[in-house]
Amino acid sequence: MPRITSLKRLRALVVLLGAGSLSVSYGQNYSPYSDFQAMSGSALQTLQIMLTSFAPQDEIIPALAIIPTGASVNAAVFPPFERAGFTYSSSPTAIAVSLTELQNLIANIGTLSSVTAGGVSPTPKLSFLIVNQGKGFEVVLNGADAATLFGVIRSTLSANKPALLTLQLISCPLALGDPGAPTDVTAQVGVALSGFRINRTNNHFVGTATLSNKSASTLAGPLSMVVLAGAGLSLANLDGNTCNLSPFGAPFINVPCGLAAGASVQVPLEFENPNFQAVQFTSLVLSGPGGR
Amino acid sequence: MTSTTTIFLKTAAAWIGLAVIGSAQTLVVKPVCGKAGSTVAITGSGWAEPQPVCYYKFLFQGAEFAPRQDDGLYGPPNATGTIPATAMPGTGVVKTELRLTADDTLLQCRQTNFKVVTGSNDPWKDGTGGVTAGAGSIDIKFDPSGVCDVTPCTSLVFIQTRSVTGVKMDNTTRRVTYVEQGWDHAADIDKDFTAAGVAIDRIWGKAVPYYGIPGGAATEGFSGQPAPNSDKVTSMSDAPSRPDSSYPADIKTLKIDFETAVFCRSGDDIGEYFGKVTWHWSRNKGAATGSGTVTADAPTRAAPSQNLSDALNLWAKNHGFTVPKQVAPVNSGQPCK
Repeated sequence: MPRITSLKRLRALVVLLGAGSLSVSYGQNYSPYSDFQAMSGSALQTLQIMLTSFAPQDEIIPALAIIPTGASVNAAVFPPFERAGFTYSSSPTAIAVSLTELQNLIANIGTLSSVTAGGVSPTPKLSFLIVNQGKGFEVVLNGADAATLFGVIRSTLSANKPALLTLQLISCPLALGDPGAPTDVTAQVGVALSGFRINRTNNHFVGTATLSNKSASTLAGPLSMVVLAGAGLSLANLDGNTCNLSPFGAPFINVPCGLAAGASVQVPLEFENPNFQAVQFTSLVLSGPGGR
Repeated sequence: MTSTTTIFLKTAAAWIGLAVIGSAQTLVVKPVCGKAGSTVAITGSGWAEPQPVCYYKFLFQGAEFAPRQDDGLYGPPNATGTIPATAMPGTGVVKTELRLTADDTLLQCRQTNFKVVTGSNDPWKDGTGGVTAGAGSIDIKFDPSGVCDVTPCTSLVFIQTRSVTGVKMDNTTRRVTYVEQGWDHAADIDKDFTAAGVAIDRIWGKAVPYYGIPGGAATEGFSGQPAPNSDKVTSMSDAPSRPDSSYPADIKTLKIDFETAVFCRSGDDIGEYFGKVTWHWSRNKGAATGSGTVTADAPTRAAPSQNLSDALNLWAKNHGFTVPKQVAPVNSGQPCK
């Protein structure tokens, strides 16, 4: 459900003047990152991570809060650790993760010295703020370090599709996606649709697309099928929206593996189709790693 | 309440484009309700145009309430009527008659209802609607409850455009591109700008042009739905920002002009606009904060500018989006009784 970002307590974004090395400031009583690595079990139930864009914006780029499944965002815990002169949100969009995912996330991010060092980049792009049990840690990263951080977050949460989708709210506009670009192999792939039926539990139209490699070469994985549907038909089981490839914003669904010459793979498709129109669309097929 | 007196968002030309030659005639009266003394737009399509000279006659409760309109070269009905100031609250009948000029013979007639009300809310001011421009930010709320002509719509959203101008050291101005401002995806963002320098304001990578949906900076509203939740305010917030690094060397001040229009993206009123607000952001290079200052003009019920329409069409083309269009009017009238 969309919700409005409250601006009541937003503070002004200070332009950081003058270049300089990464400065570490614990003037707001920040704790070292290792304190959070030491937390486990029930202690993680109240841990929250907020990701905030400090990039210039026209439309507001939402902040994201990574929280344990079953918990609610408690935005009141963040302000004591928010730096003066930066703009934070009081209503970040929640990303729910399991305790195991949260623990792995903290551990994996802990391998990034650019994060654990804390401080503020002279070219601030993204705030990583972690708070729990009265302790807080924040680092404000530049673009390159933010991209590395997002890569770690994505790989750690690779099994959590809703989380990956929500991460795109920041990663796409800030260009924090996977490096590289896939190959357009649409001409080498045949796409055949099955009949579609209505799933009465949610009124979605479900069916499959069979992708066939018509070429003599193996198509590298992962494969992605970009679905270009017209008005009134939207892909419900998407893995993401295109950010680096035209048409921008188009939904796509992934197939994790590659496709040998002559081989086929079935892709389940699920559409929201409130007008019960015929399921018709064109598609693109992308091959190989890289940001879609 | 003035909303019913000046809103003619659907032009005759728009409906002419929807007409099917040889189909039965339609009669469209907009808005469908309003106070006594308010004006209505009367349009239609599919009316026969016989060789003899004829004219249209417009009646409210049996009395003429709009100037007669010659037919012939003038095509379908296209008039503005004024509901009599003495009209009593309740449902009245608007009739359009096509008559021979020579002997006043009635050739065709169609009618539709118009509800006279004692009051109709201003969606920008009454209830919970309004525009609040603060320090570097703006909140915009459009409240469709109790508004005659905003119904029914199952999804009320905002479409917002932006136009960036830089003030040079000699106080002349020029457009500033997003490549110059150093944004991510800047080259592609710049492709969304029309020749007039206007583009849809959306976070990069979204499939729809509606501000904040999805994205969190807006909530969609609706109107005219079954009780008890028949209406919902549509709202949005914005807080543009630029650091000094976004300023080209010759620019001392960045200004962004925004136009925010209320749009129905689904429901009977699909494709219709219900009002707009223009607002402005400005920041001098070297200012203490990146958030700048925001001022807003008074919101209106006017149709969006051509610049917004052009920007929306360009965005749709670049992003593979189909802009929802108005469909044949539900309120197309019926044969006269």
